[in-house]
Amino acid sequence: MSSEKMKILEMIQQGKVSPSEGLDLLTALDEGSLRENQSSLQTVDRFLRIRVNGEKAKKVNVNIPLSMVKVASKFLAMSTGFIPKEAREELGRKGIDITNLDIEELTRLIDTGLVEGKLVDVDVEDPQEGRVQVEIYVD
Amino acid sequence: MLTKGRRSFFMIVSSSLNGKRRLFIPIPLFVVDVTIRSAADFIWFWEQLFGSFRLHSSYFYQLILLIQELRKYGRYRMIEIEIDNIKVLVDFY
Repeated sequence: MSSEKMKILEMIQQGKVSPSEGLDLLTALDEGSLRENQSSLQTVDRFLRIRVNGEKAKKVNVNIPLSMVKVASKFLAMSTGFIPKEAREELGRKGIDITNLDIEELTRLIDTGLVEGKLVDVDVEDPQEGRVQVEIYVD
Repeated sequence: MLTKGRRSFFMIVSSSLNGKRRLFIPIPLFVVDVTIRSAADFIWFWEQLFGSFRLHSSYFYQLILLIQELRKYGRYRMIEIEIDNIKVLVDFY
């Protein structure tokens, strides 16, 4: 058993992480090592793509691996405690409660497979920027 | 763009102005990976000796997973932003 797995098990035993969080960490570690050893057996990798095309020399092209979104969402759930109290209060005044983000729902959606196709498709006419097209999709 | 079965070793952040390259920062991901693993081990050791540490070692294990995910896809362009004559790229090799 790898030392990282042992440490995770110890953290569960000491109550530093919940059993479900520990299981998630162990599963992710297993998946990581399996992919390292059997790279030829990789499943289809999908990307979340964000495209912004402006008429006047503006272009944004972002490609984020979906599996990374999944890992990052768990990281986000653990990191909400680091957000300063003032920032949380400011967000609260705007009606945003960062602690109520449904991370599990997000990861479940990623697990079950987000619907392929365009999630966002906006085409606007801006007086300064001209025509701006925004697309967010998974492929 | 996507090369299956390969791992990324470098993240390269570059920017150019009027087509001329102004900034080029290669970040060796394998070094970052090892450094974070070492930090996680150190904090775990600290926790065993002195109890809690300001940063929990489980954050570092999550960070290790994040780096693993970043490195899984071989060569690809993660970010490309072009506004006026300024271009910023984040590539993985």
